Amino acid sequence: MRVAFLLLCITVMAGSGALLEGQGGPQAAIPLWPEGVPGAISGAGPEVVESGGRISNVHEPSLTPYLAPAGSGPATAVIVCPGGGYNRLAADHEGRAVAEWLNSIGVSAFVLKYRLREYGHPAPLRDVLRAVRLLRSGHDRWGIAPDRIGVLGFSAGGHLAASAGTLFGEADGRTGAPLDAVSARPDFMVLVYPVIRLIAPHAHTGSGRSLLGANATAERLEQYSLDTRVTRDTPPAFLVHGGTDTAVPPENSVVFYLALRRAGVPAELHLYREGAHGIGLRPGNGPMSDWPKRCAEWMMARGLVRPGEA
Amino acid sequence: MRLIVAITCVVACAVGAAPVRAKGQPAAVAALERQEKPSSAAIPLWPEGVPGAIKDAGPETLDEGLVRNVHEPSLTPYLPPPGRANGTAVIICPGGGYTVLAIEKEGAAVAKWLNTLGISAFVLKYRLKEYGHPAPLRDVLRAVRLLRSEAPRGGIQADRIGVIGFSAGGHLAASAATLFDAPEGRTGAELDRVSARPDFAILVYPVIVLSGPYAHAGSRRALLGEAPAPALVDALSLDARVTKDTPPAFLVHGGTDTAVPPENSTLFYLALRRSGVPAELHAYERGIHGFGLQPDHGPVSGWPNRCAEWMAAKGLLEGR
Repeated sequence: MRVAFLLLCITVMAGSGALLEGQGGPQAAIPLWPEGVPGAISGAGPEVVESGGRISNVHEPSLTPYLAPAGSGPATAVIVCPGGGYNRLAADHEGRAVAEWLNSIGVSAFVLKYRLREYGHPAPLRDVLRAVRLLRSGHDRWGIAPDRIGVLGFSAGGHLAASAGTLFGEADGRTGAPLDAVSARPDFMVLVYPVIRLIAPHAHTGSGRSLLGANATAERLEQYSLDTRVTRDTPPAFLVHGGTDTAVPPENSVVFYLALRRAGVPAELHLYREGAHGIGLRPGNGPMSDWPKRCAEWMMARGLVRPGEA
Repeated sequence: MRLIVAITCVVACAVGAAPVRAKGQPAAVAALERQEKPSSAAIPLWPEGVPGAIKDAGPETLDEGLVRNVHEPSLTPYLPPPGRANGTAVIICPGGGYTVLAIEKEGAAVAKWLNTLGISAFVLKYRLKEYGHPAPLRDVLRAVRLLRSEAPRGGIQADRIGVIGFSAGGHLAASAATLFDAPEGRTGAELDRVSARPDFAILVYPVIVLSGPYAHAGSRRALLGEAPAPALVDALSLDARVTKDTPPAFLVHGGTDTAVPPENSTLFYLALRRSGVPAELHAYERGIHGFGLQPDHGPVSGWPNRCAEWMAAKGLLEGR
């Protein structure tokens, strides 16, 4: 933490001319790597915004802050990882909308723009771990609590969030930057129809291909099937999955839950009878559309949301 | 269905002393409802004589909400107020490790909640360790057969008869859902011809496995004795008995349940998935064994709402 405070000044000066104190709505995106994106591809072409707000060809990873209205004391923070199979980012319905919901329960949200198949592993992991480090080191700046920084991810973004929860100590996630000294361990995870397995059984092979390449060995695919990476240091998790998800079967959430149980990590699992892949926060999907309420209840029971705000 | 209608007359005569009454005495029923009492006297499951009855077994007792020494299995009806019944029926299997029955907090209280949803509820008093397997299975399957055969008279839809069970009662409910066709569930009675398959199952911190690290040893001992044959233990570890004919299920479990760990529910869920049976599972972070309908256990205390949402989504709360 001492290191964190020292680094705060450096970070703010180095990267955040555009940072503004304030509340409501998105603020200017914070570049994750003001010292230069590690492994940047030169001449890579521009980032692309597709229909529905989907973003592809990410080369400048960033965090877009949506700060909660000022409450009593520092806010809980959540880094939101949109899904998109490590090919693109569903930055609107699994990003902005989620940030606005989190704000409504008194939580400050930071939508992560992470690198995708153009880079593959370990770029997305580096991006999410850097995001945790950046928020933790700069917590005063955003009025957030350094010990209440969570990750929330959808689909492949759930894989990335679960990667942060299991691989936060990996050498792969460090770049030699001073911020490496700050813990990248999230304090909690919220995983919504997450990809957990990259190899059979129950694999989402597309995510595996985009992350690890078409020729990844079975051993490597197993290595990043995150149920195999859970330890007692993995943070508590809330998982939700729909039974009619044919893209990423709910067994992904189940095997992760069972691994957390084996390691003695508190976990909560909601598996709805119906619920297709990618519903995000959309209403009209039956009982599963209430998953944000279940999540808020879980967060409140863990002291992450204040009573009255859930 | 033809068969059921045909059998109805037989059954009505056989259990005529106390048939299921949903209609015909509304004033009396309504009065009883307001007092939160059963709608009528308990219906004996075996009017022709309890199969395998133990002679001179001593009296059944009820002490602090726990029934012991059951020898006359029965169904106690709790019916919704007149005009509120939606045609769905649920047989309630209280828990108690196959040793006792938590007949109030996992029986009557559950019935009253189900009544608020328009569901006709029937608390099952099933035989316990004094008999062991297959007596409890026979009792629950007989209960399904009896309700189904009576359905047309009782204002119940014959294809909307579910089971709900808690802990060891969850094992019994899951037994009904998986072993409804098991030969040991039949006794040679006329009613054996009526399907004993529940149409849905609600399993609350259920015992599912009887061996391995997640087993509930007490339930195994009470059901199968001190040294059961491994094959019998496996045969009643119910995740292994799921087929595509197992009815849809809703499961709820608490993560701080040290008596029956939530892996029991998870294993059953995974087995249902493998067989293509629709299932829903809510495994809360916190929730000790036996929370029942108590309101003060945190988020898990919202499970009746989750269950009602599941039933509503399945159309079980709509009148026909």
